[in-house]
Amino acid sequence: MIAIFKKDFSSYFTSTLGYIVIALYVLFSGYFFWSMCLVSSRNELVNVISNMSYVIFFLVPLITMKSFAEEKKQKTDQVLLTAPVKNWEIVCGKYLSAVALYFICNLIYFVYAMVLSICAKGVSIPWGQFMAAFLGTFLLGASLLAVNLFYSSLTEYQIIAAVVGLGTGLIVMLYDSILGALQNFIQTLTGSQTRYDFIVLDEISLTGHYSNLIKGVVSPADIIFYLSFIALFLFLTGRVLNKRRFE
Amino acid sequence: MVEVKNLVKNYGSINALDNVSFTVEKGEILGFLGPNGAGKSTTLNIITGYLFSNGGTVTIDGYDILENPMQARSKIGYLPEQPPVYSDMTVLKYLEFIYGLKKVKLPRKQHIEEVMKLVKIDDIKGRVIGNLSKGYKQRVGFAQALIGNPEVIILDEPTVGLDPRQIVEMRSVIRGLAKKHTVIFSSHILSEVANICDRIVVISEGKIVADAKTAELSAVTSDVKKLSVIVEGSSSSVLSLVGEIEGVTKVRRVSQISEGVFEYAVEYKKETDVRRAVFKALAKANLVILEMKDSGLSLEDSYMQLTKFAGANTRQKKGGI
Repeated sequence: MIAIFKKDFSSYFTSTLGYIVIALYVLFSGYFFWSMCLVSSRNELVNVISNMSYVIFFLVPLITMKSFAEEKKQKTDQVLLTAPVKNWEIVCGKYLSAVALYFICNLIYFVYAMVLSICAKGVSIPWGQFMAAFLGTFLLGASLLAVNLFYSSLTEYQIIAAVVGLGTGLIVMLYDSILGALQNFIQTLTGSQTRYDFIVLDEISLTGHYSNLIKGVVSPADIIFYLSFIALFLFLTGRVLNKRRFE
Repeated sequence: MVEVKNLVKNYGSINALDNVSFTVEKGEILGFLGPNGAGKSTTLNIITGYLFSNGGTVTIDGYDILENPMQARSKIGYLPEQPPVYSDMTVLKYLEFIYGLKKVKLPRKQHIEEVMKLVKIDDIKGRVIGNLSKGYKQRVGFAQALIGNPEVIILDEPTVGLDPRQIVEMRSVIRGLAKKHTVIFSSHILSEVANICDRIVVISEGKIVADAKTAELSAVTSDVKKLSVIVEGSSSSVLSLVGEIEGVTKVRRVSQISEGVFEYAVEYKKETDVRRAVFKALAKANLVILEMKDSGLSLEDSYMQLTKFAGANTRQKKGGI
């Protein structure tokens, strides 16, 4: 697992992909930081982080699109799948390397916090809320990475993995409003006075749990939700690797 | 060491492997021969655990590839048809990665150095694999298979794409491996396999059609042997004299070597040896034998015979498309 992690992580930086992802992340978050904090000289750091969630949807597919697709295309998966390593080691090695790159991107928020606390006299950083938002962004991205890693395992074309990942990102983004529209639709259809309650569908909203964390509320339920979401997709990725051997 | 039993593999309705069985003894070099598309790579992919079969078993040193995959795989070094190298890594970084991946316990630096020396890539260890020639990439892939000193080394068409000098070098490396390792080596080039291997398994249309010691393979397929003779003198008398010898089934003139000197091909039954009779008959008639060699039935001939039904339509499963 460690060997695969090291190989994948360093390949982000031998190809330009890792630098591009970091540069885009810093560029967009830098823009939000500049426009929301520096220009207006207010402490909106948490909102900067929450705005970045939209950028994440587009950046995350770039990180994982290569992970399995390229291995399959170049037939280098033959060396991984015939080595004495278990499927979960391959999946986790690749996943953790993607998460590590994403984590590095997120470190930029600490730089912004430093800048604010040094430059803006009289502004105090709400560290508790900041850390909760940081955790939320990290978990949201990590969950999307797991989904996109799964997509990458399904195809040998990285572009397909990326496009499907982008589509999923859009759906996740619009998920709550899609549910809202559906509720209205059902309400008019049945003519009922009370709103229809999607108990389960409401709960599996990635952005719903995210908004709790952005507000500064760290509850175990949200964290466990993200962790189990990640575990599910890593498990599915492992299953795909196994299924491929039957093809 | 490697035991393959009744392997079956279907790709949709195509029967890629049909009851493939063979065993490889410790220290043996087995040539796995067959025309393109005969099922060589599929078989090797199943032995190494890259693919699962639809039936049959593979055991490596007693470990089943499905039941004890970790133990079985750790005994195998595999060079697939296309070397599984990462084009953005340097040779050394790549081999270090493989070392870690295979969880090798040998002293790292020393072991990697040894392997690189063996396949002669130690002078390019700092170069990025993507910039290497096909021959070097192949060698890097070969080095990858040798990392960890696996007991069984499986090479899928390792000499394809190499230039003639590299092929000769590659063969000598493979032969050198046989002392310590068991080698399965696939190829569609007969002379290559005959040159290196102790035993040859011929696969055609997903079925094993021959499994014999290299020297005996030609005998498996035919009951005639061939003698090539170069004689000075009248060719009509040579043809009639040799044709009368007991055991000879066919004589024909192959080519003219020079003025009055011809080469003849003599076919005879394999249980007899007609060389003495040919010598005596021609000597009596004062015809001078300049050269005589027993060419057996050439391996090439038996190979062609074994794989001659290489049509695509015979592979369909019953009731398939």
